[in-house]
Amino acid sequence: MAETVPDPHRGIAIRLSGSGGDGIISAGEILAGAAARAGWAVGGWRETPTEVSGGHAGFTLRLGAGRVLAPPDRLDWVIDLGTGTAGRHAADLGGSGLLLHESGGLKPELPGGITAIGLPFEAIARSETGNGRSRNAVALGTAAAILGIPAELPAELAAIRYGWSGAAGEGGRRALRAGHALALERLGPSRLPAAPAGGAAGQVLLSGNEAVARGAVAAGCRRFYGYPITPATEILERLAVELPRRGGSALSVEDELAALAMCLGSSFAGDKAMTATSGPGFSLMAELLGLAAAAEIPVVVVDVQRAGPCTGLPTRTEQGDLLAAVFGGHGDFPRIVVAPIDVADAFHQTVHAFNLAERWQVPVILLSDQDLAQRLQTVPEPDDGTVAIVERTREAPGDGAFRRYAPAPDGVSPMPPPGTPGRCWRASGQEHDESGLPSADPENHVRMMRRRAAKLDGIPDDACGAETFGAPAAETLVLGWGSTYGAVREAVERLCAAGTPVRGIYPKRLWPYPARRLEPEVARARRVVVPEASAGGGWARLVEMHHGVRAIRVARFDGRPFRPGDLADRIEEIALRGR
Amino acid sequence: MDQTASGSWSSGITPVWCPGCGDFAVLRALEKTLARSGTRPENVCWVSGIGCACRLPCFVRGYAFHGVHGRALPVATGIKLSNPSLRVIVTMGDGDALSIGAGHLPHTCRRNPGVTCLVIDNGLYGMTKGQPSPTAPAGKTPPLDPVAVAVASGATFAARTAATNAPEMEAMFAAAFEHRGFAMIHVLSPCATFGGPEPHAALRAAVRPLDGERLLDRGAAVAAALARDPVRTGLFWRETRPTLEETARPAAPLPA
Repeated sequence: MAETVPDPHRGIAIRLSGSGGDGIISAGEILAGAAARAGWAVGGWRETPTEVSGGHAGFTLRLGAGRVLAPPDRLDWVIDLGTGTAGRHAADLGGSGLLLHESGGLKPELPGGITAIGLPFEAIARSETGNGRSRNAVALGTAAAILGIPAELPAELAAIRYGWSGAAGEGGRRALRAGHALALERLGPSRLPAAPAGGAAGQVLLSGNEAVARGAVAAGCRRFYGYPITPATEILERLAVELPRRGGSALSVEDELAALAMCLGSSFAGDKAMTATSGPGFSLMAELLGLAAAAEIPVVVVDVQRAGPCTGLPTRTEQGDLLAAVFGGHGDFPRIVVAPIDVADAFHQTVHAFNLAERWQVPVILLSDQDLAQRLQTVPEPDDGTVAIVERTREAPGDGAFRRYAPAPDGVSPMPPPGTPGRCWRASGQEHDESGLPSADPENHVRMMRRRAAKLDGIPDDACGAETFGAPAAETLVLGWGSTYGAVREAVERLCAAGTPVRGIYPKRLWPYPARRLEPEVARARRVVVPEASAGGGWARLVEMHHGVRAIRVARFDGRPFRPGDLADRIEEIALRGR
Repeated sequence: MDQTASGSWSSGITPVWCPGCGDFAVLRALEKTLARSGTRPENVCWVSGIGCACRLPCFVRGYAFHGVHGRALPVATGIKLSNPSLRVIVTMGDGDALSIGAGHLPHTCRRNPGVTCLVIDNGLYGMTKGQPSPTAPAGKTPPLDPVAVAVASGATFAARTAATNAPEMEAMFAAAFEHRGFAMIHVLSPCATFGGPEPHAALRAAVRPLDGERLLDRGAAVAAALARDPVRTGLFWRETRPTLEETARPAAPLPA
């Protein structure tokens, strides 16, 4: 049996594993919630099979004393309910972890050097509930006991999640308690210290998708339209609950074309509107992004990226849509692209996206990805009351005919909603004159192209919200974006602590590219490392384009998130050897 | 009724349609019906896609959203849901309604937003010089009938009229404006440039109003809509059902 006591400052990691349909991910999310309630800082990463039933499902939970930034490099425990597949965790367990596998059914083939114990999860489930399917509740109890969490905490959360009531609910509770008791009997009391005082107290456990939904509500979003798509669907599901409570609405509609077109109709009529999709839906929206920009209608489009191209790996992560967000669509038109760096930031960047859309009357694309969107993190409770909210200008003073697209110093003119007397105007995707009527006049076209392009010039680079970390004067600069932040930050801080100075910077507004903010950082560095969950390296290309340097790419595109240890090794190699 | 409402609905912009286009008559019928309705221009919102018929909002007063090809119905749905007090009128062509935007028509019928929708149909793509559209008379492939599609999709108001019959057009538009929910009107409008010789006379000869048939269920309405030689015009189906803005907007919102 493994003897090492995991160190909460390094992070403690446990994985629940099984087949799709076993209830692994729900059990993992309940465990994460229970750990957060027990006072741990928590990070949780799911591995969802594409199939509704079958395939490998996993949930990896990492606990820490401070905040948990990234998935673990090594696992301390794996509880595997699958039959015969437990060997898949060998590399992650290393020599010090412990594998607890289902003892019924096929005996797993285990490589040497693995400490493994078979436990009768299914038999216990059957004896407690009459049904082997409750073995995820048994495993949940076992996991809680290993982490030193009383059985009541997950039982309470499971009762809510699974709607436990009556005899079936009692059975579930018994199964969970039996799993808890089994762990104490076979493994002894938890070897973990108590959760650190003040750790995650007052924090909430949220996914990136939930944080985006809460940000939309805080920003004053009234209308949401979407088409269900993995891994963005939770935004639709959350807002379908939240918006009607606040006088708004969220509709599931026939396709992504309808979703964005409805957003534009609602925004034209005066409401803040948002849609959320993944890459396949985002591709369908390209023409309508141009309409939003041409007609100058504020809108927020969330692209929760998944591994592409085409259908790709629907339940896996990638950062492959960046250049589509920045350059996608026909013709030259302004758009703003923002990318949150973690779950807490997803709330703030969503508010920011609405503010930018209202201020500049352009489409704003928020780039999330499966890693960030379905990751669970303990975050400070988002406070709707403290965020600054920007509203478009609705009043158009003056007499006479209203000219919606009349020249304005910053390219932004008042936008009175339909119903306002004396201010009728035409929104148009066709090139139009100042009143909104179609115009094929070449000089007018040039004026209107310049008017729209000028909006991006007005956005200050200092406001790109760059997050910096590591050693300020280091020769090695890591310049990344989005969801890779946590693993990169952990890697950079480890290297700095070990005597290899590295600086990290993560801008959150990616387009317009904040060249003036980043240029001094790039100029100071001897080498620029760009970590990216992308084979094509869209961000590396933007960095090279704007600074005239060669970016050293660190790519991961197997659909899995970066791990800090791998990154630290690679960045150290670059820092020491220059490549 | 004040001066604005009773006055001209013309925007003062001269239509860009070809001489002899059926859309002129559609425009006149709309202007007359609106003038009679007492609606104020600021409370009307026109929505269109791409094509000859989609220029119509430029020639009338009111707010307008001239979007991209095929997406007029979802734009109109968003506008109506956000401001149910607006009279939202879609003018789109047969390409918008039944080809590039065909995915939206059945779902808009199902959702039943309070939107008046004119499918102004010349059976071809005029702006690209006359290629056949999905409503073109049967050749190698059978045409789609927008009234049949709408009725089969759960529309609460489905009618057909012809640009060559002004009194019927005005009656259909007035009935559509009074309808609570989604009202789809198929307007046959001859193309003077690519519609063959004597397109107005040909259309007049091809249509005949429904003469008092009782269309008791959707099946009968679809059958009547699909009948040819002659094509029937008139109101095929009307019923009352809660509108999208009634079902999707909560009655008493909590304070934000």
